[in-house]
Amino acid sequence: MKGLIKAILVLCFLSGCQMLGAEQDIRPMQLSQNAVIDQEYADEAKKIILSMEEVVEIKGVSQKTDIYLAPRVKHFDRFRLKEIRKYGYDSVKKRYPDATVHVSTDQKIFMELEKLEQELKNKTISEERMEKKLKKLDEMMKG
Amino acid sequence: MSSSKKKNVTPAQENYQKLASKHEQKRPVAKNCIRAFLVGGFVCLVGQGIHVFYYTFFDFTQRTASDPTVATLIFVSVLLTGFGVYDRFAQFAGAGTAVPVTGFANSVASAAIEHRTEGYVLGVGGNMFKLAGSVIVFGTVAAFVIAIIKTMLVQWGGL
Repeated sequence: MKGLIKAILVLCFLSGCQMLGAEQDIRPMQLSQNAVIDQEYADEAKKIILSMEEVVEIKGVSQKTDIYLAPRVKHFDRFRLKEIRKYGYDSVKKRYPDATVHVSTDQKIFMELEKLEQELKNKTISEERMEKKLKKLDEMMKG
Repeated sequence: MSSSKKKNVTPAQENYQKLASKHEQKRPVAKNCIRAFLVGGFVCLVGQGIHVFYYTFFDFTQRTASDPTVATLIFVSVLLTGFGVYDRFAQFAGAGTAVPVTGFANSVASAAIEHRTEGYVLGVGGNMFKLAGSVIVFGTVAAFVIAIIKTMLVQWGGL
């Protein structure tokens, strides 16, 4: 029994250290003019946020002057989520002062934006439905 | 053996106490801790699974999904308490099942079941919060005190 417990403890410590390394470089999806609605704002904003050290992946969509962004933050940096959101918001706002920027680190928003990106890319979404979906997302981000 | 009991004893009693403590079984503290850690972690893992399930398949965000998650966990643990499964589980795991929200639900449900024979008002109603009552009282009081401290810091400390 004692040996088993020791083995489990050692395993726990070892597997805890496996998290480091294995970093992928994921490019943000660039939609620009191929999408149903012009995604130039979102593309640029995605690049800006992804250049942050803490962000590993990003999804984002823009509609006119509204930019919706959902970065996925590195595991250990999740302690500073609020700070990262603020920094991301500020840097995008600096690039586009007249745009309305929404940054959320919620996993749900990330998933929804991923779906939206795919739909925009495949052109399987209409402008009205997109507007409706974004309105819903906006409410989720607030609530 | 508490130290207060060692006063006013005859030498013979003292000898006996020494003998008894020598033969007393040691509490396996380390083993209990590891069990509690693993089972408590398992309960949390299940909770996290339910959380992910709710925000993936329903209209919840990560933040709002915590409410139905807690509700589900409470419901499941009350059911398990009613079926008598939770007791055995808790016997094995100790604090691992008492500390998460499931332990709180268990303490309310088991007290309610135990005193059902005394009637609904004085039995169930009166004894339901026998164990959980202190948690609620001290939780509310602590929240109140901390809220006052925070308000003072924000209002006058300019934090």
